[in-house]
Amino acid sequence: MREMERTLYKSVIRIFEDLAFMLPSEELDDRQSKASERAIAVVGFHGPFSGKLVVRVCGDLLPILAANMLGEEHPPPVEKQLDALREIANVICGNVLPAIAGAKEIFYLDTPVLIDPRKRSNFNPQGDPVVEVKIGMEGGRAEIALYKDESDRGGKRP
Amino acid sequence: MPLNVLVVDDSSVMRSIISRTLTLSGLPLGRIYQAANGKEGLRILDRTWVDLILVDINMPVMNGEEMIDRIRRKPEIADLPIIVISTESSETRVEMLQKKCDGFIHKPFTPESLRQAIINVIGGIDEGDGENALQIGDSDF
Repeated sequence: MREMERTLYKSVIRIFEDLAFMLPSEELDDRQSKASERAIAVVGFHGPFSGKLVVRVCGDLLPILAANMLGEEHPPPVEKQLDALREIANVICGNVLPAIAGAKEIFYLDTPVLIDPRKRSNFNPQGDPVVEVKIGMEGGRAEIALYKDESDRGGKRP
Repeated sequence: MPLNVLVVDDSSVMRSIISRTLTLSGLPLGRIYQAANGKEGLRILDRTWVDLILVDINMPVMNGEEMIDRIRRKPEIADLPIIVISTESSETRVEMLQKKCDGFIHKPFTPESLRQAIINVIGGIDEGDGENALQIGDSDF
């Protein structure tokens, strides 16, 4: 496994454990592997390099994730579930970028936005992700991918 | 004395997590007020006294840094203890933020780390003196 992938795995696993009390696994079972995509959150970032961090949740993961984050027995309303996904994406992005680029590097994060999986044409990241990991959890799977904007290598925030 | 706390974060889920974590921390709590951005937080401070502010940085309308700057310029509340709770991981940026506030907590956090950060800022706390109950005020912004 590449070092960058290992860094992303470690950050993501710790965040799901600490923020949502989940038990993430790098190994996916058959049901987790086949789970269909339900929601996508995207966080744009700007700094030594710019790009997007994308978090996709698949299967029945999101309601369980949101309930765990909120400490509730039952899944919260969909709006809260999506807010939970945005926050997870925000925390992952904020943690992962300095871990990958260096602890002293400064990145500015955009507000996380949601992409409707049925309208994926609205979301066109450039090329393949620089790094991508898949994590199995109760109810489904999360996919976290980091895309780098090749056209913007500057450190300025637009 | 039970602590009255103002939690400022644009994510309603994160405000709930922080409030729940405060409850789990075992600290003696009074009321927990919530605001979705710095402007709402300042509005609450105009009419309410709190003992501690927990504030996110990256928020719409008014971010956490501007809110802190405005608090520090108001003599009547300038000395309020402020702890930043942020996803910010850059050492350079954290050092800059720490100069403006009294404590820094990195997301994700645990009840223990939140409790320790608060004790570091507030000082000794008499745990037998608090209601230790979660009371949400101004949560419906």
